[in-house]
Amino acid sequence: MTTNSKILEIENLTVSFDGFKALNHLNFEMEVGELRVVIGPNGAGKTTFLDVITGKVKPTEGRVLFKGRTLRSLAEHQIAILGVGRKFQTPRVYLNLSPRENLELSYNRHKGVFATLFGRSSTPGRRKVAELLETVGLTEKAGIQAGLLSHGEKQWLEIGMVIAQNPDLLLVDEPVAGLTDEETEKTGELLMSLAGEHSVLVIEHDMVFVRQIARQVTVLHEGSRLCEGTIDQVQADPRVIAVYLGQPESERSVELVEGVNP
Amino acid sequence: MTADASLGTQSVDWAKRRALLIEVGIVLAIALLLIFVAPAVLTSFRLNLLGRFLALAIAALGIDLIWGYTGMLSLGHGVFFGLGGYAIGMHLKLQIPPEATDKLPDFMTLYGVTELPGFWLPFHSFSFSVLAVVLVPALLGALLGYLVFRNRIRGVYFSILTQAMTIIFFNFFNGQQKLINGTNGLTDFKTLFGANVSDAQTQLVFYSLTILVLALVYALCRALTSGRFGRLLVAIRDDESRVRFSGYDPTGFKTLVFAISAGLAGLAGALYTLQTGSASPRAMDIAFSIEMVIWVAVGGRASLVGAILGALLVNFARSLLSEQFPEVWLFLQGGLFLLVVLVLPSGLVGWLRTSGWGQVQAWLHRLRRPARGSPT
Repeated sequence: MTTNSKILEIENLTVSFDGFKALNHLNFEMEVGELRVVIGPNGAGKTTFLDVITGKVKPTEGRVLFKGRTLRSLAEHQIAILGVGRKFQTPRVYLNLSPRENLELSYNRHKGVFATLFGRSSTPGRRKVAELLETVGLTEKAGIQAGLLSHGEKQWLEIGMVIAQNPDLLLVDEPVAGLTDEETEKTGELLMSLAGEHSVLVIEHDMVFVRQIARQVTVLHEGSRLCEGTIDQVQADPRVIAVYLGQPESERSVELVEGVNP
Repeated sequence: MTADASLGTQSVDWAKRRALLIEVGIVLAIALLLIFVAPAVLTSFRLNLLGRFLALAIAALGIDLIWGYTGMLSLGHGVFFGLGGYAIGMHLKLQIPPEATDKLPDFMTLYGVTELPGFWLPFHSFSFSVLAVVLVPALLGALLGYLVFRNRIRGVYFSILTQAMTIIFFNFFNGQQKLINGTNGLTDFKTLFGANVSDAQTQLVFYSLTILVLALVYALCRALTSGRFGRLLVAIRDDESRVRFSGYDPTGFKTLVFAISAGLAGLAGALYTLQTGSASPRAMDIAFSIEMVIWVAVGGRASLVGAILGALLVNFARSLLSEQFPEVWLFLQGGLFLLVVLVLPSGLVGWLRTSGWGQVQAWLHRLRRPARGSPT
């Protein structure tokens, strides 16, 4: 039963690229329905972390369990079908398709070649897509080329695409980069409304935004988990202050040794 | 609200259906014009050229499917085209008059072959040969495509692989004198179903058949590119790895499209062979495969009409210019390609769709204005 309450368990995960360890014996777990924010300075391994979960990069050591199932032997599209959706750091939508078509492709449940060839869009499918267009505020622009959307609109469209997949776990990489304050706040509300029904993992730099949405924060540093807790606990943690503000080399290494496996 | 929405989709459906009917009407009208009016207007020489070029347009549609829509630049479609030509050519070479002493294609007797090689035997059957025209290239395409796409070989590497394929096939077909008449290819066809292949009447049938097939292939490509499948092809072209994260495996889609495209090239090769009276290894020459890509680039990538127009325009330009200046055509063709890439990156149709009409109107306007102003 313990495995069932966890949506994601990462055990002793190491990813090395030619000897450089982007992730270093990382341990991490997340409950079903949780909204978790992962922060960390540049180069902490945040994007690699998502790459491993989504199957883009295979672990050198350790394992990733999604709903209790190991993902090692699965390809990206199989992991996506299992229920992991990913929003990329720079918005990646299909620029030559319209927002409606982008959402429709993501919503489609039958992703085989012949199902796609002969399948027709269903009425509930169309209704769901219309709903999502409303949610991400693109109803007016549903028919134009997505390439013509503004940066913020593309961000939102991609979030909509990930929701359309109806994943159990949403991985959201820097959703508010380049957004206005108002858009940022709306994005935060959207993500919070998704938590509960879905599990949401957000990677973010913007501390105002993190404060808005975060209940539980994990700090990554040099490929390992530095600490974990509420936003106030984390911000008060001297080790976190040290890695963000910088510290003399000798002292920092001492802090890190403590931090790796508390 | 829901009533409104359903009404909305219904009216959209009606608009779609009407647009579809109009398109079917236009295609039928053009096909009928080509079948019944063109033979009355054109000399038999020009008509034969038109027929050949319409066959090439079928290959161009195939190129457009994989390159224009799916973003895979194949520089090896000449192989599929050639295979289609050889498949129907072999059937034609087996139409040996009953009074002949040797029951072998003429070139075999010449090179001292006494028994028909085994792989020729099924080509006695017309239906087998017609199936082979499409299926041999399609299966080769599927096999090659699957191996390449499964290993995520893309972009330039894919193009280079297809080039390598043309070299292998060209050398094989060019070198096998006894099996398939090597560098001369299969020529000097006599009859098909008892009718003389080079008769004007038979040629007219081949010409009409080509138009019919082109119309059907156009319909097939429209069906493939307009629905969800077509949108997924565009998605693969624009961001293949994003498609994976949306839960689709691009390998199957790309393999299927590549196989269809190869089959279309085979079909084109067979119709071309019927109208030129030869299947030659030169179709597997690297240059020919690149030419196919140029037709589509000139007409407009990701536009089916563009692919057809491109094939017709470039080939008519070639035949007109090479009649006048046989030496310079290749330079002109190269120049044309450069011009299109630099000035009209989305081809003629793409240019017309975006800025073209406005520019044409502006020119016309400018031409008219001085004429009106001159009296004063």
